Amino acid sequence: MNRQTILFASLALLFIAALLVTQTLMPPRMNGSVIDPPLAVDNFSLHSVDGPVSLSDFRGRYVILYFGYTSCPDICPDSLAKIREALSKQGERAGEVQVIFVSVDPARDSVEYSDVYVKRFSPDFIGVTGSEAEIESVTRQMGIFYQLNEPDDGGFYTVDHTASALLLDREGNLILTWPYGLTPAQMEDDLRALLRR
Amino acid sequence: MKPVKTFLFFLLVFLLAACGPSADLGDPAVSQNGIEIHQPWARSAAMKTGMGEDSHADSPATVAVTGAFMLIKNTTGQDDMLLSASSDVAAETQIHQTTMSDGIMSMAEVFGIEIPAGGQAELKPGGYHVMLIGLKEELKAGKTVTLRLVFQNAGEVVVEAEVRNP
Repeated sequence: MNRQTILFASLALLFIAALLVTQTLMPPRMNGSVIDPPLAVDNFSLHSVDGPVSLSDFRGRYVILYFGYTSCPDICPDSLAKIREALSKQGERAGEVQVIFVSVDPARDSVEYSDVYVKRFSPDFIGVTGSEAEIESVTRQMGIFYQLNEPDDGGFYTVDHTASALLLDREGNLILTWPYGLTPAQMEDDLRALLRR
Repeated sequence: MKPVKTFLFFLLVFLLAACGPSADLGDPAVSQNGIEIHQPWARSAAMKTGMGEDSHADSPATVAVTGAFMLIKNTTGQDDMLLSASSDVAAETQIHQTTMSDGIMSMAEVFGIEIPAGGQAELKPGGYHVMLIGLKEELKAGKTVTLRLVFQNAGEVVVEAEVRNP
């Protein structure tokens, strides 16, 4: 080995060592958008087929909130299916995460149908809704937008809504959002990093 | 050095082949008048009747809805357009497009979906879909749904879409 080779090898080793140190010491990069500092969310109560559901019921567990409506055949089911897939890769620890689907369309989505809709994705998911005022109080504080559009001739209407999923930590603080378009693998990585904390 | 170069060449050829647009879709479900429908499917959905407070058969609250998706190829030399769709399982069928703006999802009926000459249009979540409004029966996974698609040039194309769970 000549001197040049030794120099190159040492530099390479040094680089790898530095990489390993930063990888272990730095907080993992999230694929979703990190809310920093975390946003404390006021406790809220909505309704499920099994009775009231409050955010405080899930202290000690992560909560994933998804706002949508059951007449959405597209983004809402696609997002819920991706979340389910990411969760299914967490093994036993999936139990430390509660997924809650909030219907922002209570005129068409009863608590019964919200439940049927969400249970088709996973028996562990919870479907909730509430009065317009109750939903407003939840969406406003977390910056969720939604708007019922004008009905067509047949009375059918669509709902515009924020398509991101929201992640709340074990104390109920908003810490991360997943914009629509993340892959299940990217969500899986974020969940794994969170569950390690 | 030579075997390495040969290997890299073949690796490159392999990768290009794998990434190419000629990804194998298999045989189309239907091929008619130059229009091919690939992998048609509809999302499973439950009925709303008997659920909740509103039991009027035709009130908007009891209308169950789902979507159908597929890949449409136009093998002709002329642009074509999917103008409408209908199905016996739904009271009404519309063609919808989902758009995202500043993280907000909107879904709206569109006039049609253009399928360029020699090109294709994909109906998939986050883009276009056939909207089945007012389901007449529960759509369970494993069932099939008959969709009648009307194209500007190719005319009516009937396709069986498999019902899948979300």
